[in-house]
Amino acid sequence: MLLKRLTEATGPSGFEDEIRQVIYEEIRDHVDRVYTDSMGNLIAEKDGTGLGPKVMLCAHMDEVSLMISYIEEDGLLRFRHIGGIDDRVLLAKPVLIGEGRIPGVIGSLPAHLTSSSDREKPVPLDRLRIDIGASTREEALALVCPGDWAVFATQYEPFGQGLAKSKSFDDRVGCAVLVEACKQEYQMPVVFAFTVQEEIGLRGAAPVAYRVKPDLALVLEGTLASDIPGTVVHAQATALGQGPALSLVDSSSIHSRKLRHHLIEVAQAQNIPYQVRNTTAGGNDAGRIHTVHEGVMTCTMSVPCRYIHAPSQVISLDDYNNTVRLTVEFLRSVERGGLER
Amino acid sequence: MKDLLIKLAEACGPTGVEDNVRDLLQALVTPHADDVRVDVLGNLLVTKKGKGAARKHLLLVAHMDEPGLMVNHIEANGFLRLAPVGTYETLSPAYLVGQRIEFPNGTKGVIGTSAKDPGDVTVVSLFADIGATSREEVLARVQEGDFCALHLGAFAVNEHRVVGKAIERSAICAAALEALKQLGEQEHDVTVAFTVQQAVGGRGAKPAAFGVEADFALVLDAVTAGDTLAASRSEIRIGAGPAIKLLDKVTAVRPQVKHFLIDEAEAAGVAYQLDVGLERSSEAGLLFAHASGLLAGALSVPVRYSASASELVDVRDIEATVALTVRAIHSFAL
Amino acid sequence: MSEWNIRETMKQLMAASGISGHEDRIAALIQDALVPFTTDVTIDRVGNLIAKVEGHGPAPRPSVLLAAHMDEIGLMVTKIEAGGFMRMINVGGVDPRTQVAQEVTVHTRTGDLVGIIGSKPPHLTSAAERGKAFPLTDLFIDLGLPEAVVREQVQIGDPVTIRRQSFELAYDRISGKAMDNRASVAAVFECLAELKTLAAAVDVYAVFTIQEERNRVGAGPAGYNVNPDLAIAIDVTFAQMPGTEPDSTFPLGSGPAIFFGPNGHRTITAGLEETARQLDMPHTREIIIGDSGTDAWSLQIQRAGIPTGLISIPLRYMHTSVETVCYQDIVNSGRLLAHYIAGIDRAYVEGLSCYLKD
Repeated sequence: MLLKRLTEATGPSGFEDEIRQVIYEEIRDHVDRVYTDSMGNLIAEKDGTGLGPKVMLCAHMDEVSLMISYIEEDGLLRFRHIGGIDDRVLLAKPVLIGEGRIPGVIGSLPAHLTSSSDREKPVPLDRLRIDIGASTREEALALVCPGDWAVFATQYEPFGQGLAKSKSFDDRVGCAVLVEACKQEYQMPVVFAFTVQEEIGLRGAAPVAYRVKPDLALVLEGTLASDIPGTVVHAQATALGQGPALSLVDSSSIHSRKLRHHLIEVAQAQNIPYQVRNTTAGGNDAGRIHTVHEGVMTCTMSVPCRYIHAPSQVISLDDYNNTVRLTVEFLRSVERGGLER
Repeated sequence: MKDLLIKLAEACGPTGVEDNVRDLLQALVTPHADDVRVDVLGNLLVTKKGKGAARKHLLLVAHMDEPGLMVNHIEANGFLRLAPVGTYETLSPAYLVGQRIEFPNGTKGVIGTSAKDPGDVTVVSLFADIGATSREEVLARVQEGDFCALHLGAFAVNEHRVVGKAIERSAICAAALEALKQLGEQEHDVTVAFTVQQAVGGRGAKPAAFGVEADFALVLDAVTAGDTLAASRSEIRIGAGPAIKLLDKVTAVRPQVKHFLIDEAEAAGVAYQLDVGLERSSEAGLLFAHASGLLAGALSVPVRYSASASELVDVRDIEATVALTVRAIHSFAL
Repeated sequence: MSEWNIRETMKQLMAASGISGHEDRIAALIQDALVPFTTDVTIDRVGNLIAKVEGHGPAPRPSVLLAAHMDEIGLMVTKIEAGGFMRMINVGGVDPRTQVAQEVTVHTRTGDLVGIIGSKPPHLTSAAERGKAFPLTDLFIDLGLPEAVVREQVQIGDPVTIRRQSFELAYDRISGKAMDNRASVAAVFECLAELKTLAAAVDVYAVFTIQEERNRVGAGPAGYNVNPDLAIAIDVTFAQMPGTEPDSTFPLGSGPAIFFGPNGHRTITAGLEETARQLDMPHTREIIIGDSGTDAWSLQIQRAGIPTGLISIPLRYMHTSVETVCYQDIVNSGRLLAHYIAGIDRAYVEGLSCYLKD
């Protein structure tokens, strides 16, 4: 099952090896060429049959995760974030460390032994430790070392009604959309770019866009959905079950109105539900793509994810399928000449 | 100059949707240019060829946008929810309560809040009223993702000083336009880039410059004057001429550029000031460091009450900026 | 070129001045010092100094860019007040607490003037006042000159540097201002000196970048213009001392700290570590997850991407006038770079973009 394979694969920012290989094996038979650049971005090209604008679809392969920074004398591991994580989601969670997937747990002092005033404060990062079962530094070093990364040990499972939970839907769900889309045939040239290091500063996207020089770009993301108690509707960003979310403005881009209006036209013509992403918080690869060369018409479309950047994220499978549909129908519309240049 | 300034100030050109301002400028600039085009992001690029044999390509940069607000949600009962884009993100949202807004298509409205106290105003508590009573009625005029700007008349307070919203971009664009008109025959090729999205970090300037392959960029900008009764460490005064930028948040201007502009100002008898402000990051700094790099300098028009609904500028400062710009273009030999 | 001469060159560079944006004097000194290695030296349009040292063997040869920033932190004059006292701002990360009572040099268009950063005498301060550090805005520069003379000679925007001679301490330590980043400049020279003995088939671009201390703006254009096959930045990192964390600081004398993290190409990191082991050289690993805080951050994403590495020299008391390093760490950094470079060939460089397994 594609979403399971993609979300369970490991790929911290800068160490995307496993997910890159998984994606490569999914797409290699459906594209004309596939290669990597010096940062490890994965770029796949379908040449199409004829002319048309060169469209680039983009999703990032990396996930937020942790890195072991130091091994204490007592065998417990200190760690830091890779990407933006709220420390409060880390307490009492299991992780898998490195290529060997060494299991560990993030533990802390039990509530029984904590003062009531301390229980009201989050445990700071420099007091959290990963326990892999070692009692000394030497025992720990036999299994892990500083510089090893750790991902959440969450498994993919169907959830609730028509939903799914796993780690890293942000942005493996975007990668899945690209994989599904690349299995179709198109007339115009389409480039599928799987970028690295988005979570630590949108790092992979600009070198890719510089090399590819697309005429237009569509970024597929997993974005925040705060349709939960305590958020007013107009600050929710997105809601599960209302379809792919089209970005308006975020911290890295003012998205192309023209592209967004075209996506809306296609969605309406094909009866695909859609919503707008109503928050301006957060950034993504579109920010680095649209200012490359002499500018690229770019916009972002996302699958809503609850509990983003946390160990157990939730999406609606309808939203996912509708995002795939809208992406493919959008490409078909563009190659029919639907989008004036 | 005052009339042009007022016209530009009253135009609706929020960052990201600068179309109205661009259309206005395009009409005014076309008779003075050899080539006019609009790029993918909406920058207006205007080129006037030079006559010299060993001519260089000089880029003059002036941003067209002003801070804006985006409609991020439309309520069932016809009220709009807004999110600030650009400079307003750093202001207290209480500032926006009671302000009048305008959309590029002419739709107008007012901003209200559900907060009881000015101290409790948050962005989430703001809403806009365009007189509609239902979502359908709104959608006939405004969609989610549309941008608006403040709506205020601009006017002269005396013979030389003008007040209005978006005075900064208006002064800058007026100066660039006027400089182009006054160039006459010049040795070097000159491209004026009227840029978009300066308020969100100069996103328009880099792609605009990338296609031009210039030898030098002179950015026209604004600088906050410190000569009101508000306490300020800034030495900048209005009426004392353009401020030659030495340093901004991102870069330091190369000494040869600084000395070139100072020498030209002194030779021309143009009064000037020196800007060592670290608060702003200008397009000059961004262009300096982008791609192959670009020798860049900046001249800033002093403005009081920056990023407010009522910015104030002295027209003589704009005229002096024009004079120095024209002279610098003619004398450029770095 | 003997080690002694490069050490002296470094001290000369430390004594000279070049705050971010005003690196021209330093560039001229560096250009002179490069003469034994190359005369193919250009200054690009933003002020980076680019020195090309051609490799041996037939062209085309792989190219490596070494980046060491030549700017230092300092101050800039913002205002001249009554009595001829001057106000200033930071250019780069100057700690105001270290500026109190510091001697400085004000570089004017007509010449250099000596000043002292002054503050109120202790007799006139209360205990409460003395319990708080001076913010930079409360400090001023005293040139000892009448106001009229100051206004004539000094302009707003004139750069100001710390006036501090370098000191040789015991056990091969050297202390002084601007050791960040003269130490790395010296390391590049040590590398070029060692390369002379190695006959590497690689073109080396020794690039001395501008304005690293303010947003790393010089390195991007340098990388974009040279467009090398790979780049290595050389900078300084925090040496261990009381109050520092063990996982992010490095003892003086522990050799180059080789960068490990997303800002560096893993093959280059591994190659540098392997070379250090082969040379039996002390070295450490510096792990940083996001921005390394150096020119490597800008270099890595130029054009379609440049494979980038980073090595750092441990330094105590960073951004003060008594920055201290162990000179052997500089020598070792230079040697490490030279031997790593000598092992590079076209196949190695092409392999840096290969990540897929068939």
